[in-house]
Amino acid sequence: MRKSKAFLKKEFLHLIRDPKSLFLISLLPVIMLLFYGYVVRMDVKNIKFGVVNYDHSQFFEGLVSDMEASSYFTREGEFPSLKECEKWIVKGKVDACLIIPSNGYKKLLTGKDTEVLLVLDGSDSNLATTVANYFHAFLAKFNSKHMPRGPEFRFSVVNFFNPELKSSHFFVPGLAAIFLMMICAMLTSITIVKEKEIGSLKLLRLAPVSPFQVIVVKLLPYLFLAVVEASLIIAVAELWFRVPFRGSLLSLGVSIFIYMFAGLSFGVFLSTIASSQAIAMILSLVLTILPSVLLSGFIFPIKSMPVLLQALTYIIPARYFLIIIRGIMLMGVGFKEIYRELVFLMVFAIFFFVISTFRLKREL
Amino acid sequence: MRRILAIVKKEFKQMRRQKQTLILLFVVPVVQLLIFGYVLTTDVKNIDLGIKDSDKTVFSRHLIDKISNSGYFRIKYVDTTPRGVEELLKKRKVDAVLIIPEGFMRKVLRREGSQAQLIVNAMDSNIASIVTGYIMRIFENFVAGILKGSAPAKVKMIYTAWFNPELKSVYFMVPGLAGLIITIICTLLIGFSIVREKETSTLEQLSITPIKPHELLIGKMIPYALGGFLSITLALMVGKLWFHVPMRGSYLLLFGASFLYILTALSIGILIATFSTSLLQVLFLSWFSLLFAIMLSGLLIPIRNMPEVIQFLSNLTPLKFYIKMLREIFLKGGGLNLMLMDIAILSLFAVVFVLISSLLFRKRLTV
Repeated sequence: MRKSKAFLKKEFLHLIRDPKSLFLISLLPVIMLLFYGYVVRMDVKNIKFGVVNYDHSQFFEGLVSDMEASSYFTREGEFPSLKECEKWIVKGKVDACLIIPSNGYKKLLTGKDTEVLLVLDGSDSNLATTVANYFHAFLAKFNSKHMPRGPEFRFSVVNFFNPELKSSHFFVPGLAAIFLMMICAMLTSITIVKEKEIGSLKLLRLAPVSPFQVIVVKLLPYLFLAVVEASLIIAVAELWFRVPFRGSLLSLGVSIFIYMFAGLSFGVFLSTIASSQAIAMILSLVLTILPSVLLSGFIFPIKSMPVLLQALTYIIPARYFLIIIRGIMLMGVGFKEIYRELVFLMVFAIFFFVISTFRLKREL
Repeated sequence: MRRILAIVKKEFKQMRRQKQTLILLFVVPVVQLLIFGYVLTTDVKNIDLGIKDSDKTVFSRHLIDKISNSGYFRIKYVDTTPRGVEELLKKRKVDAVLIIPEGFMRKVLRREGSQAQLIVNAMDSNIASIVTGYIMRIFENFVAGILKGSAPAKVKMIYTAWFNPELKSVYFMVPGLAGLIITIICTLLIGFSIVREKETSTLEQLSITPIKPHELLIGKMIPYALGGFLSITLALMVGKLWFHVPMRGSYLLLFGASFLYILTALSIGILIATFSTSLLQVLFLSWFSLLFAIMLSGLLIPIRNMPEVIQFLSNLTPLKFYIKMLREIFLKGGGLNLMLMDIAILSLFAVVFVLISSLLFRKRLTV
């Protein structure tokens, strides 16, 4: 115990003696969170549209001005013909073009439906889908306003957990998952490999400590650092981005702890297979950060992926942590809804911890 | 000229000897495009929709059939109160719940203003609004169908999506990914090759030979530029043959734009290598410049939604203009006249970066 304590003191001294990187490590993720919290937004505003109105009735003029009045659409211009509007779509100056047929209003008066055509710029498929949806919702509202006997049915939509549909509420906790993984896995693997390169790891062979102690003591300062980091990130999410926090701090704390343990043990594992710092960096990029961004459901829904890739997502810790952190913060879930995810993270952490201990034992 | 050729020959020889370089050139573009093309989709599929059908008429069953045939939803029948829905959402059993109340269809037929309810897990706001849109459209079409001519006239929407009628997101992603791949390859490879020479001190040895710094740079750039062309051709072949992304524009324009961009990416690589003393530093700096480019180039995240300051910052990433051009050439078949501005900007980037990197490189080499 005393030996470990002395050893631990040495590790902390290492950390403190390098204030530049300490500063960098603790502030960089916060800066990145502030920056990317604003960048990652998938909702669409200010849809630019052009109008080709062959009808000229007051009714359809009203439709267009209603559209402009909603916060989603901005009218860029009116065109005499579809040909003209086509040019604007190709140039990317408008996202969509609304074409109102001639005698559209007269047709309505005779009791027949009038079809307006929305021409979309499909080269950005996501944008086009959203625009079609928004326009459809707009028309439904517009129609019910003008229906003589009221609508046949009403549709009430309840947006649970995020009534204002703010995408930052979804992405900011997600960024936390990625940054924590970056610190835990990348940082530990690179610094341990550095000691390997210098040869100071070999010196430990002479010291009266076991490989198990070596790993635990090496991890503790980073665990400490990551805890500070996690608190900073959560503070920024809460105070700056105003992400709701509906669950309990305790369950989030426990989950973050387990997630970091998983990241750190994987980092140590990487350091036992990498021979140089550059390789450690490449490995941690390819094996932890890229999958954490792409295969975790951070931006791209797992359900839409092909089955084979979906299967692959089950071994990515960030997948589970995203479910946990979003669940706790946004849905207010407790341990009983997330225990399976926690168990997986725990198993993952212990598995790589044991493997790295064995590998380190052989090396020492 | 002869001296440049000698360097080119040397670089090719080194390339051939290093397996990693070859893998990076031939395998990575194909594998990345195949995986990313499938992963990076914003299409919404397999939504777990819980349905509580209290109406239980032929009509409501027919409506549910329509929803399940739409291909977006996996339907689970649930029996719950609106309050119980929260539990279902929390346990992630369903993504949304549709509640059709008792007598809904009867009231619709009599026009008594019935109300159905959709409760969505809106954590992911993007998915929530897409799901709402899908369900609303199915409902309206269905109600219009059963009321046939007796419904009051209304304005209906039909839409066509140009350039991508089926709204496949892979068409949007593949050109962007090709741009990303060429960035990774060009920047990393040339950065590695220069720093490796620094680490082994062969760069110093080269500086005492009669080779001038600019000849050395040109000699280094030619093989990696060819490598860049090769990998973008590979990536585009995968896009065209595997994902069937349409190619509507001119190949000449495509390769012209790629040339400008490859020049820029190589110069950035040289710049990074000039500032670095080790492989690790090259990796760190490239990773940060890549992260910046990925986030701000419009590859994954639409630039128009970002705050204005960040939109302005996004103009600093050459990748943004290259991806924009790739998408326009591929999907819109746009000609030169549409892209004059982008070409001008990309050329400016190329010239500026080539100048800066060669100046700094020369300084480091002669000092």
